[in-house]
Amino acid sequence: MWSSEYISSTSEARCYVTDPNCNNTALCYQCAELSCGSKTHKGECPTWLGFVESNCSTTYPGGNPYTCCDCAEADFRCTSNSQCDDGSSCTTDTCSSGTCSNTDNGTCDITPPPDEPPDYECIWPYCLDSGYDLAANCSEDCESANHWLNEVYYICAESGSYYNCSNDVDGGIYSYDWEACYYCGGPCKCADEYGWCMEPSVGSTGRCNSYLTSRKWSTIPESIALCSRGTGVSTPVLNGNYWVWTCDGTDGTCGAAKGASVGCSAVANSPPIFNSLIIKNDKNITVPVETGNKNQICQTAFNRSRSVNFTVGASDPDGTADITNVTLTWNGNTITRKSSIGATTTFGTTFPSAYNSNSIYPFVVTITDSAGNTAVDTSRYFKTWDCKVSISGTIFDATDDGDPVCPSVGFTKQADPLALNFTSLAFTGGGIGVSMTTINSPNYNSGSNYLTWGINTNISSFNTDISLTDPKIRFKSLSSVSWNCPTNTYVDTTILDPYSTDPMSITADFSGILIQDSWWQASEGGVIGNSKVTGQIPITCTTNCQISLNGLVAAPTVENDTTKSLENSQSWFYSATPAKLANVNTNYSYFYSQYFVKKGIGTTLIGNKTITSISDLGSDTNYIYFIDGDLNINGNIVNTNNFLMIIVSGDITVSQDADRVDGILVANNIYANGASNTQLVFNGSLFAFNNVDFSRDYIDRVINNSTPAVVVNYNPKLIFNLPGSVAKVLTDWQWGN
Amino acid sequence: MINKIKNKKLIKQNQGQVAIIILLASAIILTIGLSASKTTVNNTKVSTDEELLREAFNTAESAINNYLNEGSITYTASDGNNATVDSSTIGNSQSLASEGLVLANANQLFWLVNHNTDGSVGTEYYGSNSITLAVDSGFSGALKIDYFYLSAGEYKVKRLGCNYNNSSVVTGYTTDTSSCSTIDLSMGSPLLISITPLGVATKLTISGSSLFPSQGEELTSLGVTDSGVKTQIKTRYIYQIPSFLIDAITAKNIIQ
Repeated sequence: MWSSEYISSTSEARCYVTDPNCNNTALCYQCAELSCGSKTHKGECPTWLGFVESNCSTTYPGGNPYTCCDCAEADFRCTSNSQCDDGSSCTTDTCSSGTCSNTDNGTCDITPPPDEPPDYECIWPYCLDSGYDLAANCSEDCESANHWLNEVYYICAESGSYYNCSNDVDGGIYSYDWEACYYCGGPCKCADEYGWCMEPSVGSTGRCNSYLTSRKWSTIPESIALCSRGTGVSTPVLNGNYWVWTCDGTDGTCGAAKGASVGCSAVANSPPIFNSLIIKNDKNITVPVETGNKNQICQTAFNRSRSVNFTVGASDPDGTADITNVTLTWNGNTITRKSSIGATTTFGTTFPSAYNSNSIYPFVVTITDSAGNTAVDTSRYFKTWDCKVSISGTIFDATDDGDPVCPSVGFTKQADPLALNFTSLAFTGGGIGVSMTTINSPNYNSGSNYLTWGINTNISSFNTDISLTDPKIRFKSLSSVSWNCPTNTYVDTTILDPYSTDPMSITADFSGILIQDSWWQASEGGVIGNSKVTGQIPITCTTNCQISLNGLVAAPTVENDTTKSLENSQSWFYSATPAKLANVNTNYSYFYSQYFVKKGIGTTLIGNKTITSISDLGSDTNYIYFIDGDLNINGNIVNTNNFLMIIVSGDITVSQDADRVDGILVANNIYANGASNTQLVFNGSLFAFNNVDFSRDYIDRVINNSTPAVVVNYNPKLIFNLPGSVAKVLTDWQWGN
Repeated sequence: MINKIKNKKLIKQNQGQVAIIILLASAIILTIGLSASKTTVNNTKVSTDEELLREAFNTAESAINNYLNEGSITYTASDGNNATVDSSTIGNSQSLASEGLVLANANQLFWLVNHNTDGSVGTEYYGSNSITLAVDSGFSGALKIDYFYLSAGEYKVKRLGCNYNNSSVVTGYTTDTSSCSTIDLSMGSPLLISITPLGVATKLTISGSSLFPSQGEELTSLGVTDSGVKTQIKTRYIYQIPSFLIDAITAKNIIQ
């Protein structure tokens, strides 16, 4: 027989089967008579379905509390912050005026939010396997029709005293067969008068998925259910600034009406926009972008620092506040954010050497908004490398070519290592000197040392005693065929393309004129030798390059002992066997006899003499001195008188301590040797009974290339100031009538 | 005793020539005057004449030496021989000539300024702006010309040279001899010209429109023995400088 009552819940039904006296429970005492009516027993309101329990009142039938409450479908509005939990620890969940908001709390900014929204939320205990619902997982409908049957069955299995009918479907009969409880598992007598029909219940109103509606969406994610109750009956469409769709209501029970459909909406969201990526140096000064939208760490704008700052400019049509994250990476390496996220977000890092690479990689800027939309930019490229540039080259000898002219003239003949004396080379740029570690004259290379890319004036400097004058340079990248020809001897490392994967190596060659041997010259007077005259006019000489300026050179053999031809070394020369112009009959004895013995002129000094000034010779009134021995001149002989003649039986040697000797020198041999910083100048005439030998050199030997170490300036004044007593002589005579 | 003869070889050659002439003359005289004498007597006579000529020469030489030392033009030796010296100035004319050939590579000086009595250089300069230089016809050597002058108180030298008859004795010398044939003196007060024939000897003559200053003296001495044998010698007593002073560097061997 059917009860006249309806049971409002399975708990109520359980009450009846639990207490033999009163539905097997004290709470259910006289439960058949005690009904909450339009209310529901406290704790029985299905809040898990969105119903809200309220207006509870308690009575005490039989002395026991009996509480009934209103149970109505809740308006889906939040009442506490916890109800707004979006499952993300990155947001602060706030319920305000019934509306949830999830604001970025900044704690998870570096970590992007999960790409997928959380699984459909099931709230314990309704969807746990061990609870009432045997749903396998939360993706199943929590309102499974088996919900209650399983529970009943479970109870049945415990006591074996009752049996449930399986005809328990929505709108069907939930029956209790007391008799049947004597044998669990027996046939259900669903038509038994002791069964109850499930209380007719109006179907639930469709409910929008709050996860969708509480957020902004550029598109509605298809993987997320549109409705948390009921079924979406339409695909969301964009209507103005909203995505709209409908959630259909669920069916009622026991023939009750289906729940109403509701309209759902979610704010449509626009993706963020990347505006700019500005690269700044360690001083926060913007580094200009180079052609190809790229930069590299060795740009001088980076101040030789590997610390680099970045500013990312971003915007969002939904407002800057909608931007939830901005990240910057390079070659897979995250660059640390230095500021809060906003329209401009700054980053900074110091590129470690481990990041060095020959390749160029893009910066990856990722901007994320609250809807998970991203804007990604990879248009700006960057290379970080060690800025090291190796260098090598060769020194060439341009002596035969005159001055070298970059890139070809003078760059064909490698310098003779012995003549070159090349022992060191350094390049100095930006205050840094880089020595070449390998000198294999005339070649060199930087070895383990390197130039620094970006320094465009690496000035070269050789060992100071290298025999190379005024070198010129040419340089190029190792792979290039074109030479660079700077006006000064420097190397510009910026000729290398820093973005190239080619070896960062420069070839730099030098060419110059080798330093020449010392040489001598007569000026305004001829050079007369009865055997040989050997000039040494260097090929490097450019002006006044004559053995005798304005004079004749005469000897059986006249030569210029350099690569400069005799024709180019002397305008007038008489080179032939008969060319013996020196009077062979004059010697020390001749002059001594003619002047001192016959005329009584001159002062005679016996033995070797060393003088440092003219006063060391004495004070002859005619300024004629005879030295019977050798004479060493170790100082300047400056004659302020009109005449001076020194006649020596032995040799005259002028040391490096003298740079001026005035007068007429007559000796067996005349030497000028040693090395000095100054030129030795004779002002007068020299006459040797044997040889004149000038080996004097410059200490700074490069002067030899242009300037003679010894010059004999012919002085005609001396002729006309000979003592009158020796001016007149007898010549040949004739004998006859 | 006068100074040694400068060019002994030349002197010896001259002496031989004179001796031959004297011997020939003596032989003629002896042939004409004493044709009847015996040969042995003739040989003795020649030897005696040579000795007399030697005595006359020595007396003439001594007379020049005496003239140079004492200034006296007459000289009587202790053995009774005597000599007379005649001095004539070289120069003071519009032309000067070398004393015969100037040997190759030897220089000939032509003074263009006077000398003081003490031998020092004076201040009377040759008065024209150029001189003309003449060499032997067909001269095929070169001339090295060194012209000294005084300009603004400074002694200077201009050097030039010419290859004659298209010769190429000196590389670099011009074959246009006009600059050597007419020497420009206009750049200053003329002092001296040194001219050196190269390759070939030649006689040198310069001439101009002004009088050349004295170059020295030509001395002629006539020596006479007490037996009347006479010999005349000539020499020049001129202003001279050591030839190496013409150039800057001179060596008898090597210059390097």
